Amino acid sequence: MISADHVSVEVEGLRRQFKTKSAPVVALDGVSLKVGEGEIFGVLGPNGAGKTTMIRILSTLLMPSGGSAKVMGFDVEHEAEKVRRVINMASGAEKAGYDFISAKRNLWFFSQLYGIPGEVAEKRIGDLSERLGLTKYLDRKFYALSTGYRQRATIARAFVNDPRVVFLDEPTIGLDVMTARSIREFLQTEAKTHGRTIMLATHNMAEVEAICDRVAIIDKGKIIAEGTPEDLKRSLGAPALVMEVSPPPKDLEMLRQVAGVKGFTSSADEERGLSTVQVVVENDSAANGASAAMATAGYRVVASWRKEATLEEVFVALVGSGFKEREEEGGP
Amino acid sequence: MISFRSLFASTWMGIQHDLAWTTPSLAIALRTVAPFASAMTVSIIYWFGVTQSGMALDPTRLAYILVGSTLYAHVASYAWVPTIAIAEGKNLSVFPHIYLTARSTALYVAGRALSAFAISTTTSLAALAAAYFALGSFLHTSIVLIVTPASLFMLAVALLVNIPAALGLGYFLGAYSLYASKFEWSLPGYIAGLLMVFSGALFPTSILPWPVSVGASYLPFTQFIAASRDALIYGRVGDYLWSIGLSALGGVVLLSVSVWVYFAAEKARKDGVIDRRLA
Repeated sequence: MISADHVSVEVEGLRRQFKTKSAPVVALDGVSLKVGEGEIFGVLGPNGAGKTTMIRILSTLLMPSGGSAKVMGFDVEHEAEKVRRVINMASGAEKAGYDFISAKRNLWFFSQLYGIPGEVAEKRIGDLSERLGLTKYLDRKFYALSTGYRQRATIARAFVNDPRVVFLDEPTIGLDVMTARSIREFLQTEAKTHGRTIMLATHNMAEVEAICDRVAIIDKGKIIAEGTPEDLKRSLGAPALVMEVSPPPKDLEMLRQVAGVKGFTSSADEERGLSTVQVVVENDSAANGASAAMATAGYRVVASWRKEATLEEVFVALVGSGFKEREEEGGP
Repeated sequence: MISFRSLFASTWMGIQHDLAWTTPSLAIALRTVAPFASAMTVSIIYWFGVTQSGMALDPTRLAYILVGSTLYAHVASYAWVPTIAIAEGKNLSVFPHIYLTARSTALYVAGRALSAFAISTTTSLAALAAAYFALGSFLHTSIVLIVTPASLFMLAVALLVNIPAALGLGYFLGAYSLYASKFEWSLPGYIAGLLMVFSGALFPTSILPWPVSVGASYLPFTQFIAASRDALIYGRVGDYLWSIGLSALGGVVLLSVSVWVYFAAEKARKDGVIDRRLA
């Protein structure tokens, strides 16, 4: 429970609807949550679940259609200027810098838009760059930076104004493991040492498990679960069942008939001619029932094992299918 | 102080953005080509038309066209910068982050317009000088231009007085660019074409049908070009001061209306088009 004095982000019944040519699309449907100071809070969900819309509203790029949202006590709709003084944001999918200007000068430019005195800005840029491993590449023009270093520069920009709350949208998307890890370590230090609140929208479950203190799982514009990653995984009870099945099944609906099966997700391995089916079960007898149902349907279970639950299993248990299936259904 | 920093940084960024893709001298030289070519083209068309119809070439009329075309190119190349800066910023994803800085994007837009003003003043005056000498030798005629410290000072004042009007047009079009998710790249081109007709760049606005001619004659850009001609061709100080006054007044009115329109485009936030995403 977060005390009222230490709430950084407070969202109540947040709703956003977009007009489209066919029919209105509800991207956020009554979302409520609270994020405490110094917390790394993950918003996890498949593409199209409403994560980016929430980040855009909280960072004052977009107005809500209903409900309310406050950042550091300021209303994002009516006190947007005050909100902007205490926040920053970055998106991993964007190349947010001018190509023919060096990384250093791009960072300096943004620091000046925030009115930071020259010497303070230079020192802060130097410090952020060092911690993000960017120092050697600071004088390179933005277009000449590799994806990883460009993303480090983008992350540095998001901290250049010494914000109290930082919104990050898929900050490590498309990055190699080492770069992603160093960015995560940087974010953890920023939250734990400097007390910044970091709200992280992602569909990367490993990232959430690695650095988030708490997570909200979002699907079709609604929050379907919230808690620490550990609590959410623990709530599942039994370990998940993983089966390698041949030939790859076209339909897994027979699993829904098995008592105690909460949901499932699958991925095909065309090279090996089989599918890996992951089934979230309530107990061991449900796992046995799922294996038997596959065999009865004419599929050969090549291998099967049990594995500790991850956040994806939590999602599967809650909505009945995985991120991939949800994205194929089409989000808001 | 924070406003000054934002304005200075945005002006600096504009100069870097426009020139840093190659060496500054080459960038300036390349940017001189368009106003030089347009000045040469319209002047040669005039010369061709006159000589083909058996009339005598009027050096004063030639100077009129030369000054009008290069100063039109000057206005055209910097009044559109706010629109382009926003559209390009949206495309690069830079603009939403500028929007999120604590200061208004209006300062960024003003800074970009000022940087473009500095660059286009350099290139337009260079184009004017180059076209003056090229046409003089090509047409074997002496083009009437008054080049004295006083006339150059008057031209400099006219250029500076025109800034509010150009910035006003920039904000006006920038508001559209802020709000729109399509056509923001091409809009300046449409307006540029209209301004060529209505600003007296190539012919007097009085030949336009009434009441368009009256409206066109009071445009700050028309008065700016008229004042520049008074300084460089006719040496008429009284007419110059009248035009400068009207240009300044029109500029202030246009800038005030445009700033109001620009801030009204806050609707862009409501519609979610600041970062070009529609859902």
